[in-house]
Amino acid sequence: MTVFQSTIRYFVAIILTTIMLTANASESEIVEQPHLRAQLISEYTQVEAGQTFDVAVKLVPDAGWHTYWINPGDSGLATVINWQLPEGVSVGSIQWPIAEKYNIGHLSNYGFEGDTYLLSTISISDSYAAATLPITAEVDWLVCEEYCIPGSATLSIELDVGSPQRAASHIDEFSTARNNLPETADWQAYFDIQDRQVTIIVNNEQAASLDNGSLYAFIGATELVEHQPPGSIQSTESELIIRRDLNTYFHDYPEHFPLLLVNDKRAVQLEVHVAEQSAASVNAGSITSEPSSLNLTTVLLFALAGGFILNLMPCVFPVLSLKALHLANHRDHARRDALWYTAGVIMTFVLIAAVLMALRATGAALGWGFQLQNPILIGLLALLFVAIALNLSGVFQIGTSLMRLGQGQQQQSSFATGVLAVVIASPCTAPFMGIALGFAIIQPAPIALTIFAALGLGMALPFLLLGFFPLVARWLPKPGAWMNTFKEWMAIPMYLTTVWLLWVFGRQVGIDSLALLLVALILFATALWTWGKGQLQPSSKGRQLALSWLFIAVTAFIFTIAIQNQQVGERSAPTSQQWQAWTPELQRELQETQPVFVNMTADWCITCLANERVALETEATRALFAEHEIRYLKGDWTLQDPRITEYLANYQRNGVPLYVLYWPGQEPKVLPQILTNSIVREAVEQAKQSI
Amino acid sequence: MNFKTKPFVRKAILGLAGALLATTAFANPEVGQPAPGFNVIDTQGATHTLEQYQGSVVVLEWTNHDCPFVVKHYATENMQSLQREMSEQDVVWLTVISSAPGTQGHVSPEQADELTSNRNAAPAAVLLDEDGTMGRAYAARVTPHMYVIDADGILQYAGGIDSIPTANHDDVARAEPYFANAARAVLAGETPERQVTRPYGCTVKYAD
Repeated sequence: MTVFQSTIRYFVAIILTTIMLTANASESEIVEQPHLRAQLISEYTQVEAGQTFDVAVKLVPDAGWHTYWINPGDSGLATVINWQLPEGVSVGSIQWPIAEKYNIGHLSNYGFEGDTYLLSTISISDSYAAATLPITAEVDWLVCEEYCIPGSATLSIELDVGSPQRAASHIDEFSTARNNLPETADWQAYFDIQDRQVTIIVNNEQAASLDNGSLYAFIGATELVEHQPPGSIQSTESELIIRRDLNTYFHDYPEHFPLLLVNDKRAVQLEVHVAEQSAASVNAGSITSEPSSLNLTTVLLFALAGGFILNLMPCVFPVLSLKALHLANHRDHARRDALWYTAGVIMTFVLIAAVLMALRATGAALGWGFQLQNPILIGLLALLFVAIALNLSGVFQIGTSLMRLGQGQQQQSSFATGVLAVVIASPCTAPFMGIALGFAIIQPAPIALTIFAALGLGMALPFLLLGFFPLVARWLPKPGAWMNTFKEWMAIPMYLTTVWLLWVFGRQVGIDSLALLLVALILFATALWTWGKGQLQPSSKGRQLALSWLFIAVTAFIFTIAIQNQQVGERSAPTSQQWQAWTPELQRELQETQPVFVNMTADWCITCLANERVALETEATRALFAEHEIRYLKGDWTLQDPRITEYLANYQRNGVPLYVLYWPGQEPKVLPQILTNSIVREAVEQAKQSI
Repeated sequence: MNFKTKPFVRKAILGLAGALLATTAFANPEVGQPAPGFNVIDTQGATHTLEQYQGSVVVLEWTNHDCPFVVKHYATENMQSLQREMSEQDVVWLTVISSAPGTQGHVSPEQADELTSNRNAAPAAVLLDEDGTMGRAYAARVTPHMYVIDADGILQYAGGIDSIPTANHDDVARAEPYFANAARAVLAGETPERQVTRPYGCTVKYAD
């Protein structure tokens, strides 16, 4: 061996060692198992605290062999990764690549062939201080061709901690891995199950445009649908409608599951949620959906500001001034006092909310839905807001006696003062409390309680500030006539809110009922006005009070008619529609002389909507109904119309959809809950033949 | 401020895709209904039918001795102990092999008997369903796939052997024994709490 040769060997050895060392940093060794090789790779060789980066478990099965998706299908097993990470380092769930479907006889599986990258995102906390980052993935898989072999591997890498450095050797692999991922979308999608059929509606124009004939929908829940039968996919211009047979082994409703939509051009993954009446009604509501889409933080900020404004009310502001003086004179306890006072205020507000929640629960137990799609509630809220506005305008006063009650109690502990402050202030705060009550009544209990706590905190805020920063007292404006003017200005938004409630009411029940409600509102305003006159003239108090009660009674009477009347004007169908709104009278009248098709539906019923899209409001069915002169009546159970409830009960149903065909001289024929154009046509033709 | 933020706004319909694709659903047996009949020979050449076991609780176990999920329950003695527990209470435990000739799990009658004695298994009989007729009648999908039929011939349970769908032997002890719970309930004259569960395992290797 020459010196030259040995030198060469020496350098080769050094180069190899260097390659191996750098390589070792960002990739594990390849673990060979029967029919599959596994490896863990990192996009970075060197990472820093606070960084998030991707790692991938790379599975390379033999040709023709596959591993499984999150839902493996009829058999098989999804690959599972258990991570071992140092403290301060966390990892997200697997980002599954675009799956493929494998059919084996009458069974199907979902999985991946070829090089498969299971990406996961690792987050390092800001405080991570170690010099290296060891990552271990224990991977369990099932690899199958005709038959299956379970395998597992423990794959480890150790990254350096320093300034971030990409692993040059894995750039291509990570770009391949990302190319294999579906796009993620936040399209609204709901599913329900009726008559052993799963119906999914994706409410998005892009989703609808995926339906180009090559679309397949991978359902990410294990025992929800039968995997082998393809089911049906249809679309309107803005919705994608997927129907699949319910799995034989279905047992639990998933709350939500991933849906992977794949056609020859795009692959998109989204979440599908269970369509519940309650879930749907939150979206169908109005006030509810606005703030919840605003998010809770914004609502709480509003509550805080609202609570703060309460301090400017004429009967609160003097208390604030007194308290400010008190705090200024007792600097030593100022902070403690301020805190106790705050606690007292918040406690009282939360208590009020709790009482309200209890009342609501009682109401719900009586079957009274506190949802905004209930026109009765909307009508009552309109009355409430008119009363609030008139009160702020000074037409009448509330509980002025309470003001006197609270006096002389200032020496109590600060907590009690806080409690009392809320009570003392109630004559002025009541209008605003009314708003908060009106809002809270349609919220889930925890949110309502939080909102009230924020309101209390807002109200106590000036005292807190005073306690901690006594100098703030200098900025306090002096009490005076301006406060009354301010209060009166506050009436304007209340009137506007009433207008909005009336608009909602009108949309729900029609113009006739709206007119009646307006009459009720005027009578109610008259009642409050006469009451207010009584307050001003104690001599004629009895007479004025009697008069206002009379007006209240008439108001109640008219209000009752207004809400009774609701179904008459309900959602009158635009003339371009082929259907008419169902009423029992109309149905009876029509069915004597001509065929009638009744469709009982609701906006939150996914199956109902799907049926209308694919089988009822289609060209084919329109033509069919026209040809046989069938009148199409649609009953909308979204508002739980009691007459529809009764109709459903006649057919032993307690829910929608329900489709009934009435042919003169025949028994009514109930159609299946899952409709197609041909099912409707067959039903009609059968009825016609049996005449 | 739009009041109608409904998830589905009613809109006019444009042209829709044509008729629905015909869904050719595989006929599945239903729990609470009479179990499908069968007529299959065992390793001794004797014929077994559901009718002949009228009056007895019958357990059906689909198997494929090379399937890792089956191995999981035999290597841990879970399956054998269930077979003993059931036969002591006069349950007719029928192990069914629906693997077609030439596929994984297909065995000759002699091999089947050998497997039974090697594994110390205790079924009443091992049925050889080479052509898959019985498997298809029950829509048996995987091995192991378990069924419990009550003394009146009503299917009371169909599904997996337990709650953890892995091939990991350690999971047997950790899992909720769905099948065993169901079989015990039927023996006690009750309706099982869970009558269908996820059947997990290897696909049954049917003849095409």
